[in-house]
Amino acid sequence: MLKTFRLASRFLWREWRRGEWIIVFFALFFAVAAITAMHFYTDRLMRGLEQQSSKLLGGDLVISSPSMIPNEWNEKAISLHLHTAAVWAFPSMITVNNKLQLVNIQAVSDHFPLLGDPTLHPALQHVWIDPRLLPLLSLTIGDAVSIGASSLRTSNILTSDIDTMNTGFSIAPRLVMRLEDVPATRTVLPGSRVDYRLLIVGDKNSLTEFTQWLTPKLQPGQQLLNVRDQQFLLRDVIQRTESYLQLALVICLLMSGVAISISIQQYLRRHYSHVALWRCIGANGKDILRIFFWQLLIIAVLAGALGTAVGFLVQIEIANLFKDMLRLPLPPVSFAPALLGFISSSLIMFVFAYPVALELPTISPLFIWRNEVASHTKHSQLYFAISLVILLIFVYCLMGISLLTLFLLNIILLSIGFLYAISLLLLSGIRMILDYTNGTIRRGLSQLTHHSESVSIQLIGFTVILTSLIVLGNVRTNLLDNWKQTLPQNTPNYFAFNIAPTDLTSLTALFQSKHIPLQAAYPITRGRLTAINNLPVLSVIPEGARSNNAINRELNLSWMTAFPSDNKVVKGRPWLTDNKDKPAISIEEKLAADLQLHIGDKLTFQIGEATVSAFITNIRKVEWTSFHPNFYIIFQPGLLETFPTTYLSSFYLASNQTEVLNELARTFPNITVIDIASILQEVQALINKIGLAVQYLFLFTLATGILIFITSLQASMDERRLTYRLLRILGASQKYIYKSIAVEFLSLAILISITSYALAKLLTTFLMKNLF
Amino acid sequence: MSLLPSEFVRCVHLSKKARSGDSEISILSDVSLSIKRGETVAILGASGSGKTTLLTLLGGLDIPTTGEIYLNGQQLNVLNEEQRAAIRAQNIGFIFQSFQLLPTLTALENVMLPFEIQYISHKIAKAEATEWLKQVGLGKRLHHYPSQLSGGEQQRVGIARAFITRPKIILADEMTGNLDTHTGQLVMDVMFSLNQSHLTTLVLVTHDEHLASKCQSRYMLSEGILQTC
Ligand SMILES: Nc1ncnc2c1ncn2[C@@H]1O[C@H](COP(=O)(O)OP(=O)(O)OP(=O)(O)O)[C@@H](O)[C@H]1O
Ligand SMILES: [Mg+2]
Repeated sequence: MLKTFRLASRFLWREWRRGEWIIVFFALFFAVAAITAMHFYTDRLMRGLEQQSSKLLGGDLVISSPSMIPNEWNEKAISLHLHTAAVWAFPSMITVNNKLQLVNIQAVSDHFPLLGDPTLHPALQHVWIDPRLLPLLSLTIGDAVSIGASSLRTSNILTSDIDTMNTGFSIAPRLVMRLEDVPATRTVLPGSRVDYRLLIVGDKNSLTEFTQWLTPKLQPGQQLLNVRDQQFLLRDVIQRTESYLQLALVICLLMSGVAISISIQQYLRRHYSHVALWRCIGANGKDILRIFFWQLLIIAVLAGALGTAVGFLVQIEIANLFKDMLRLPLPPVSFAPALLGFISSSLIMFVFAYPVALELPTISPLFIWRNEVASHTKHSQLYFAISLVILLIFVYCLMGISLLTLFLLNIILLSIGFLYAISLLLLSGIRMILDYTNGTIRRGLSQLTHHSESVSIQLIGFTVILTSLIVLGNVRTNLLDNWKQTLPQNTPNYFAFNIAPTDLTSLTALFQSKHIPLQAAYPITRGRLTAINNLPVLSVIPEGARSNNAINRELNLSWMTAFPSDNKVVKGRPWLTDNKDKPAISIEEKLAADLQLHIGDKLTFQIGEATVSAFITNIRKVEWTSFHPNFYIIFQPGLLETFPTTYLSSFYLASNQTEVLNELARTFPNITVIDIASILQEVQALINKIGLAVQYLFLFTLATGILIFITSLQASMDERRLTYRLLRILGASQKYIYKSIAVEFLSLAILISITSYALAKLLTTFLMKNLF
Repeated sequence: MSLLPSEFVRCVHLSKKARSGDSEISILSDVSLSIKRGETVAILGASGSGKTTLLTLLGGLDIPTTGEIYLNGQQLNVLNEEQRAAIRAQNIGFIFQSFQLLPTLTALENVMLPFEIQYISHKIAKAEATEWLKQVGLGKRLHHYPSQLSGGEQQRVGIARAFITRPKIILADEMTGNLDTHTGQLVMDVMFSLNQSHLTTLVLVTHDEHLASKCQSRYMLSEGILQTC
């Protein structure tokens, strides 16, 4: 092996010197640079987005508990080198100038906030307040407020970059104080309703370890939240972005593969006569293969190293370029993409180039006299199939691409076979019409049929590239449109709760007079789920569902004839109005799954002193991220009307219309208004950033695709140049040659565009349905 | 079948058929031939008479449809491609009409090639190749690429490459076919003087009667049948 290595490197150097290998090297180098740049960048981008989302959540992980969080949990987290901060959230009355006001207190520990500027918390004996409190209490910063038995000084206004999300949707205006000051206020007594939270940040492995350690210890009502949680607003957006970035990455990989196979094919074809000569002078077949193996490996390692280095630099450039537009702090690069770039360069090379090299030892020395080559051996096809599988496994394992791989296995295997069949069909079609053509058209077309092997490869390769790019473009458009629709500009940013039925009409009138649209009001009755099919809830549900909020709290029960527009019935059927004797309810999909509830199950609720039973007739899918009021359980009209009811509505206020809120507070003191404007704004801003990132990534991949296209075309020109030079010697005019080149490429281009377009259409539909 | 001590190549009832489409054509039929060590042999014949085919059989590049070939006591037609390759590397030198120099290698590197594929050390290969290029009169053109050499010079590089392994037999297929008479003469002179000094067996396929007349034995191929002349 070493002997052949020495020989291989010597041969390689000699060829390199004369400009051979350059196209292969360049194609691979470019591929690796693009893949690593993209991988480096998307890796940072994803972690950046996740960090940003964590910031909205308050930490990478958040434990929420209705009782004090055991100290042991905190100690465990710290022993795993995780950082923690504690937050207690509870409602309390404050007094200023003899005015009483309900606020949502958020008492934070010293380390709060964990993400972002760590100094953004009040000093001891000080509080930071919601700007809404200033007019409500005729307060100025610096005044003292009384909380329970203490008097604390206001020192700052709360702005949106201080964890807006932390306490969920705060009903009352917020007030942030220090945890150390809480005991003196005597507002938190045994039995007080406090949401105890432990915020945790740190490295991924420790977080996983901690999660595994903690999960079995969670009691009913205790929850562990993270950004990938079902309930978390941005989960969907983040997951889709991740899928998109991975799709782009895999497409880059695919395009590189095409470029490599086209250029290596050309290279080896040029070298058939070299190999034949080696055979003539007695070279061993195995040695020839070994020499090519080493040459490919050397090229792969060099192109891999250089490509990774350039990819790293390009990534810095991309990050700089998009910094201002994205305004997203990116974490530093991680090492993984470099390693992957390296491995992928060798893998691409061997998957796409080695099968071709495998045919070299079968070249007969007689090739020197008669230019004929035995066609593809079964051996090399088998090898190609095996190495393709290895590449896919690699993609699957190391890049963490899951569904995509399966999908790609499909495109690659199916469409290559399909395309090959198409190309053969088309070529034989061309051959058939050849006899009816003349002049340059005949020249150009016969040029295609003469190189039918390499034309097939080009047809497949270019179609794969073009299809990928179109798919990537289509998916991008669909995603961006989707997101725009998810949260349109005038998404309601205030929720009004506790609207008494008697107030409903006057409230509607108030809004009408202000020309502010009020969304449909939903009736709400609060009740607790007590039995499933006449058995106590806790005895029927699965072990893991014990901590589910739905069974530990009173639920908001609503009733309506038609479900909100973003609810989709996935099982069962909507209400049957004529079927009054069997009371019907609708349940949310995830809850049904968690509690293992099915169509036809009987649920019993305790509402006040009374109980109500009804049967599940359908299961709904709910867009939790839509910022619309949503309900786990909806009753058929006619079952709850007799119980005490309040209404819930929502509305959109532009930032200059918030004056209405004070009027609302004066006229309807019982109505509580939840302000989600700042959260909504942040989420919208983040989605915009993600949209931009997706857009840039697409442009980057497009540029890569075009460059690879050109490189491959360059490689395939070699063969044609030879023929056309000969024609020129034989006296063909420049015009004749240009015309026949035009005919050749035009017909190739038409074939490629049509197949690509059709294929892309199909794939986009498939992808949008299954992945995004 | 035993070999006479002086007999180096022996062909017995060789025939070669090729399939082209549905029909089978006979390229060589019943060719028997015996060549002594150090002998110079010329094979003449019209275009398409099967000269190249015979040469590829003698060189173990292909195997006959029927018949036997012995080279230096070894029966070639029963060996597989790899075994024949090993024999070629040790015993046979080829010279081609179109030179077959690798365009990416210099004259020196082209000549070194047969040594390199046998893993002979770079130093020895280089020294030997330089020596052989000097012998064919190209001592000053070692680092030129084929594209920088004239036809005659390229063929002399081809000769040096054929001789470097000190093969026992050289097979030359119309080696002067691409050269003008004068240059062809010069190249052949180099060839014959090397043959004399190294006692190499020489088989020349040629159209050139004058060249053939310089050989010890002459054969004529016509439509696949070999006759002495
Ligand atoms: N593999 C093959 N398939 C079909 N026909 C072949 C094959 N190999 C050789 N032939 C035919 O056999 C005949 C002899 O070919 P060969 O190359 O030996 O001729 P030649 O005497 O060397 O001719 P020239 O002087 O033109 O080089 C030719 O007619 C050729 O077309
Ligand atoms: Mg010939």
